[in-house]
Amino acid sequence: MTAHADFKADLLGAIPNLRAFALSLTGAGDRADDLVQETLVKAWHKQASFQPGTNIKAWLFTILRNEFYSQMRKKGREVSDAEGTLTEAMAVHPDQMGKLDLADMQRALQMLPDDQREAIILIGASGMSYEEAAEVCGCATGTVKSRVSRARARLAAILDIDDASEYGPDAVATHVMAKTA
Amino acid sequence: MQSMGLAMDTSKDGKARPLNEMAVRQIGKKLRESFDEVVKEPVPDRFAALLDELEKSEGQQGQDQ
Repeated sequence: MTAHADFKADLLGAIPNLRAFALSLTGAGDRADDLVQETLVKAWHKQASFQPGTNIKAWLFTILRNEFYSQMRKKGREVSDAEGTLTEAMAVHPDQMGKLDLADMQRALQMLPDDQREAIILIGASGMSYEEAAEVCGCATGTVKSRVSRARARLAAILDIDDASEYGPDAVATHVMAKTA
Repeated sequence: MQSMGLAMDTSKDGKARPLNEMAVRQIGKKLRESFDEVVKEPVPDRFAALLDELEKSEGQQGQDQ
């Protein structure tokens, strides 16, 4: 029973990170927690396939990620509706005041293609190494790297932070003037 | 709407021009902040309850199947 107890403790300890990962992927809090719940159930039943001492975070993220995509496939119609809504609601351009809100980042993430989104979340947000992220995504580290850089460029464009105008009050003022003119 | 169009133009080919270091840093910072904000939230009770359930049902597996 100790192996079970250890495994259970490991799962419990991973929940905060799983929730953050799920929220970044789904962009919706209730869906995110459902996804974490399904991940925990799956992980519990797959316990035999986990090798104690190896990276449980990467293992769990892989399960969550695969569950997420399998749900997306099943709910194809619902997802494309959601995307339409998002695109419409997506007047992100957050920086009239030169500030980027965290909610803006969440919404911007939802505008990325799936492969770029997961790459930038794993590397840029969760702090995984390229090797770990490659394991989670089931691809080569070089692929992760190029997805991350494309995701960065895209986020910068969506969030309008691709030049020096964000930094310094004068530049921001000019930026605002230009926008309102 | 105009700025929206511009944003799309720079990214639609998937290889927009290289970002300056400040932009990369700002994006990285915001990504980590938004992730960490969730990590720091207290874990909802439903998850501990779920794991307890799973543990219990494990003990009764013989009966369940």
